[in-house]
Amino acid sequence: MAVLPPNVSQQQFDTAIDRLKSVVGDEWVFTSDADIHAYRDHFSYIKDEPNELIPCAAVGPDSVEQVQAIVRIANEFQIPLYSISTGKNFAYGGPSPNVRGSLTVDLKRMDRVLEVDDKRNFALVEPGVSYIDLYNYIQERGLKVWIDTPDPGWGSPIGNALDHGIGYTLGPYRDHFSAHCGMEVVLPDGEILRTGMGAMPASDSWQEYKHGFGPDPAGLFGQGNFGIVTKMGFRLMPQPEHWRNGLITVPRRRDFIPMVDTVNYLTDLGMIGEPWYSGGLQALMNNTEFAEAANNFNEEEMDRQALAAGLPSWRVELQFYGSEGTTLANWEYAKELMARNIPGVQFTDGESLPVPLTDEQIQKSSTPYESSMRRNITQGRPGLGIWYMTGRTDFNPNAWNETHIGLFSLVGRSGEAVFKAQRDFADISKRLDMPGFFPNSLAGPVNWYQNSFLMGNGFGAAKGNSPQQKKDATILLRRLLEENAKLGYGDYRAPPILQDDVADQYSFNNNILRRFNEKLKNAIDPNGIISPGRAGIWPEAYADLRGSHRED
Amino acid sequence: MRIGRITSILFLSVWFNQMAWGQDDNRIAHGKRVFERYCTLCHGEGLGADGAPMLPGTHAIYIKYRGEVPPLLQHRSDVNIELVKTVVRNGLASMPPFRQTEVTDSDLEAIVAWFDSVADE
Repeated sequence: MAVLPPNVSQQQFDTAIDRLKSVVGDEWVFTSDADIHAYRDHFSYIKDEPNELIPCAAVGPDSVEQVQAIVRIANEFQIPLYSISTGKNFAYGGPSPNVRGSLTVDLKRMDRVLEVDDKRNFALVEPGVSYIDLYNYIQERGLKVWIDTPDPGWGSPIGNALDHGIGYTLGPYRDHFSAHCGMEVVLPDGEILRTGMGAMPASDSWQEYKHGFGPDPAGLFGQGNFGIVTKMGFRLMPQPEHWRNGLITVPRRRDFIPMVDTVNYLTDLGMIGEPWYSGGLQALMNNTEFAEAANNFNEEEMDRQALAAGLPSWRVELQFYGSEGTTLANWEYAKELMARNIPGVQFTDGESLPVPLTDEQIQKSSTPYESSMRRNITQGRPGLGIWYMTGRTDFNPNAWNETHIGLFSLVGRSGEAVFKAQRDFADISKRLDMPGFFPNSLAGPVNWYQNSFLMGNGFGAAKGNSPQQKKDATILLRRLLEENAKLGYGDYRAPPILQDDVADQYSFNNNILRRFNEKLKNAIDPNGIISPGRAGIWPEAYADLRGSHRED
Repeated sequence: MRIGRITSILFLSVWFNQMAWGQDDNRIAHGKRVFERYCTLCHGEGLGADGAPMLPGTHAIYIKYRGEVPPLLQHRSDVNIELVKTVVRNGLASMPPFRQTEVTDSDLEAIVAWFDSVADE
């Protein structure tokens, strides 16, 4: 299993390892197969294949100075690096690098919460801090701020933000990269850069004003390969006094259009947290007559059957943060607007609870927010409960679902755009003979990012867990990416084996975006040592590896 | 003189014992802390998400063994350091492996010491 970095001899590698040991200590350089195993992607689609993306070794620095020294050694020996924070980016490659034989820089030991301020509402953390760690730090000190956590919560705020991850509370906090404020980065030559007000040594505003002066390069470090981020600030939501929820249902399929318009209005006024859309007619899919209508987008027939069954066509669950009075006022206003725009709309008052919620209130399964998993994350509480979806359960007693890979594609934030995407995804799926979840007229969007919709597609592309079935699924997903892009649907995030394919589709002006990034890459990182290939950005030194993960 | 020497030996013996007890206590407390940081959200007590009767790791063990062994790891008598290292370093089913930078081998030994201390209770 042992692999060497590309174009590096065993002797050079051994010397580099000795040098790394002198920097971090023998016990924090990992070269044995047993240790390297934990740096593989446990859910890899190319596990045990000759092209599996495994590192040559891993090194665990404890300080920024050690990261600098590692970067300088990598330059000297021309060893590609791949940095991970908590290494939990599963479904997006986990800890595995883009280039087989990279040296993994494991930042987990840098796990200090440097500051949390619950008056100015920010945190400054190192990469090894997990959402769970940060949550516990805040709770143990009784601080009155919330984190916005993804699900599961064992990832790192830095790692998640840098991969453009998301959460579930108020809009400005759900987009984790946008919620960052100030970062410290070790550049490819080993120098340290601080963005925003961090560039002014005496500033007290590093976590409060992210732009600094002049161009802000922070965006280059999100899904990028221009440096290793060693500190990052995040804006935190002050702990609200009260949480309230409510359910809105509409009778007809086309009512979804004004429903989305109204929710957008409320969202962009900052009056609601993450809205949760869902189709209301899933129960009718067992009825072959309805299923035929739904799969053929026969809207009139769908409405007729929905009316006959007394079911709503669409639902949206809303949540409100604030005081008891303001949350009630916002809920009443949401109802007033919806009633003004949609005949026949119905409302279910949800719960009105002082914050923090108790465990019993989280576990309660009353409508709306029947899901305790969702209640947990709407309160900024990190957990691992979602792992039941892949773990051994009564429904999945002898096996586990290894095939959790698919696409989340950007779709316009309107009802019309969702309807168009439903048809497009269904057409493409039919054309490609996609197995798995069949997108149809009931598929709704997720509003994780405040200003955009994502729609899942391509999940269940693998017909099974055999290597050939996974290869077939990967090929299918590549074709799906191409077909989606022809109609304007781009993926927002991808595992290394699909990153070249996603990047290909961002092709305006002959892929000028990628060409621009690669010009910068070659200028800033002439040896191309920082995560070559990440997000499809290949430095000249490794340009021959572009697309090398593709199957013929 | 001889009595004094015996007294000294007894004193040292008690002192070393107490040191050892103290070290054991620290190790057990450390093991519990590490387990709580990295393991309890999956392998702890309590309800799982969305109606699941247990947390995911606890439930997975329950489903696999159907009561032959307790679903909580600290209540099992068959969990030794070799088993813990094998599962933690290699992963098992949907549980991914954990790295030395997250939990060291020494941490794992401390976790097992905590398991043993709980099993003894």
